[in-house]
Amino acid sequence: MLLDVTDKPLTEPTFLILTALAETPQHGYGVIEDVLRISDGRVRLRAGTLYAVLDRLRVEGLIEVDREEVVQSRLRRYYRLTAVGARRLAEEAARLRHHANQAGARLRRSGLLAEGGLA
Amino acid sequence: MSGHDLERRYRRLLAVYPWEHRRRYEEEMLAVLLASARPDQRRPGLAESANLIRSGLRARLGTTARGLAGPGWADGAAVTGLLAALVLVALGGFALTRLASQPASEPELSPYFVGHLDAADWLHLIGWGAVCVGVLAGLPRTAAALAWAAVVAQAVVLPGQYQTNPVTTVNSLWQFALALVAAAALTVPAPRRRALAALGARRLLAVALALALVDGLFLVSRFKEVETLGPGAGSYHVLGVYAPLDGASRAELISFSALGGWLNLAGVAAAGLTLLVAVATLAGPVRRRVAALLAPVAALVVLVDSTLDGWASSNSYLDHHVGLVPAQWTVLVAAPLLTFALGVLLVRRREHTLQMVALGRAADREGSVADS
Repeated sequence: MLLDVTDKPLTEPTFLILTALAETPQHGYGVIEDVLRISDGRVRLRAGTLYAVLDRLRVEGLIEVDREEVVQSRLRRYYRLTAVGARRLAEEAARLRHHANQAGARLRRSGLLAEGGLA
Repeated sequence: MSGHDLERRYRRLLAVYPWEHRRRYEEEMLAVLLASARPDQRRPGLAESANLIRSGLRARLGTTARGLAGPGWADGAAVTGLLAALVLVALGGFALTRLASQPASEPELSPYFVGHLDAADWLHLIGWGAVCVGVLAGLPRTAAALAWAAVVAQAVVLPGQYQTNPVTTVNSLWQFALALVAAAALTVPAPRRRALAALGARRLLAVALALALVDGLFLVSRFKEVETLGPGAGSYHVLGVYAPLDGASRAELISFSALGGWLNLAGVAAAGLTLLVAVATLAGPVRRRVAALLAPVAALVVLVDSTLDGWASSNSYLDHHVGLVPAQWTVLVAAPLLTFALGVLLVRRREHTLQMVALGRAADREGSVADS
């Protein structure tokens, strides 16, 4: 499969945020919680990082505002993936999968890792 | 109570972000930050604060960079680049006065009357002339490359000039600054012939004629002086123009009648006024940016003129050269840079105010339509 190499690879926080929004629209705090779940507790996004990424993704048209709610007098803005964002996430997932498969296959062939060393 | 303290402190931290970002995200970010906080937390954590400050500063940098990359600055830079290149051609034209041979009666004027131009003079004149042609012919990259070549050539000869004649070199540093501004401005990506479109053919013609008039006045004056000054030439009138031009700290317009003196003065005044009007009548956003881009050069002229007078005169009395100390060099470099930063800030502030006024007017109009 040919990948578009003109698009720069997504950073890990960007990839995880897009993944968090792939299934259902979420608000900022929901994204932080979801990213923590997706990454098995390894990635805890901070607000500064989250909003830097959300702002960039919104400007690039990869996400958009779904709706706004006020809960206990606090603003909650829900974001959702756009069609462009979904395509970009799919491409990135395919790229990562391809690289991961290659790495796994070569490690298996080398015999450096015992069978079952790669999930 | 602790929730209020925490909120207040987070708000203070969020002030690091530019206002556009705060307007869009502040309430939302605050909700996220408070939701992530421990129940008894009173102060933002160290890592959280560092993350907010870092992201805020990055957003500020991004906003400034986006603003500088916008069409307003591209237009301003294109016009500044062309205007500065035209002025540099005119300055190169002053060197032609050195083609005048020395008057027999005044051999002590030798630095002014060398009777020839050296390779650097020709390169300057032809180089900046080619930059102007490149800009007008719609070859922005060629023009920028030529301008940078001219700047590098000048930078190479400056240290040598400073060794032999520090006062003249420092007095004419503004010309180097102008060349630097021209090259930098021409490097800003802009559509082809943008400078001509933003400046307008009539304004361009007026600027070119004004500069040619000043050059012409000086040239005619110098050649006439050589022709006329001789034994018993009688009285003549001198209009000294402060301009550290071409190796001389003053350029003089000499006339042999009071009327000639007035005509010289009127010519220089008309040319200066034309240049001022040409810039002042540009569209607001372009005018503000041209002013911000040229302000560092003006700052350098004012700084050298107002603070280094004593140094210059002590150099003329001593039999050896006295150089500038590092602190003086630091100020000479830092002041123009600070002036530019201040100029950018003022342009942003002014346009922000204008934007707010326009929004206010629109809201008023909507209100009055709704009332009627």
